Amino acid sequence: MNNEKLLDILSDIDDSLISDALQNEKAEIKRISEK
Amino acid sequence: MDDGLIIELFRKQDNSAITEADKKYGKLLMKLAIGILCSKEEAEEVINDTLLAAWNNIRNNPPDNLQAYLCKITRNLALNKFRSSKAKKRNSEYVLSLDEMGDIFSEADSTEEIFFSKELQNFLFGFIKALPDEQRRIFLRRYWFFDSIKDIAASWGISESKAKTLLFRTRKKLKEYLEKEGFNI
Repeated sequence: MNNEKLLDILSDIDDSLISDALQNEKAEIKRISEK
Repeated sequence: MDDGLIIELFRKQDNSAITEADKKYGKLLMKLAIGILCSKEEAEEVINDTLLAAWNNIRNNPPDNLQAYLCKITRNLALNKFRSSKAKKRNSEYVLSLDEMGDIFSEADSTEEIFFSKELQNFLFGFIKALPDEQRRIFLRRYWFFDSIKDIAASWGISESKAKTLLFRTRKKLKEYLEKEGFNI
C-alpha cells in the first residue's frame, strides 16, 4: 500500500519535469521517422 | 499542430481539437495507459475519457502545458481503472514498478502505513528535482510513465542491466534521503 501511495503522490509533480522526461521520446521518434 | 492552437480549438469547442490532440499525443498517452493497464482495449477507453475530460475542462481552465496536462489525466484515469479491475495484471509495468519500490518501503516489515503528508510529497519532489538530468529523466520514465526497462535502455542507448542499476541506485538514494529527513520508513 505504501508503494502504491508513493507512486500516487508523484502524479502532481511539476509539468515541466514531465515534459523534460520526454525529451528522449521526441529524439527517439525523430530518429525512427528519419530512417 | 502547435499546443497553443490545439488549446484554442478546445476553448472554441471545435471538434477538431480532439482529432489534433489525439494525433499529436495519442501514441504517448496509449503507451502510458498500456504500461498501467496491460490492455489495449482498456487503454483506448482511458484515452477517450482523457480527451473527453480535456473537452469539458479546457474551455474554462486552459492548461499551460498541454502535454503534461493530458498525461496527468491519463495516468490518474488508468490508475483508477487498474484498481477497479478485478483482473490480475501481473505483467503490468506499473505492478513491476510497485515491486521495485519495495526497496524503499518494505511492505513485509511495515506494521503501519506511512502517513503520506504534503511535507513528504514536497521532499520527494525536491529530491527528484535535485537529481542529475539523466538520472531524473530515467527515474520519471520508470515511475511516472511506467516505461519498461527495455524501452528505457533503448531510448538511452544503454544495456538493460545498466538501466536497472541506475534505477536501483536512485531508489537507494531516495530511501537514504527520506530517512535523513526524518521520515520513518
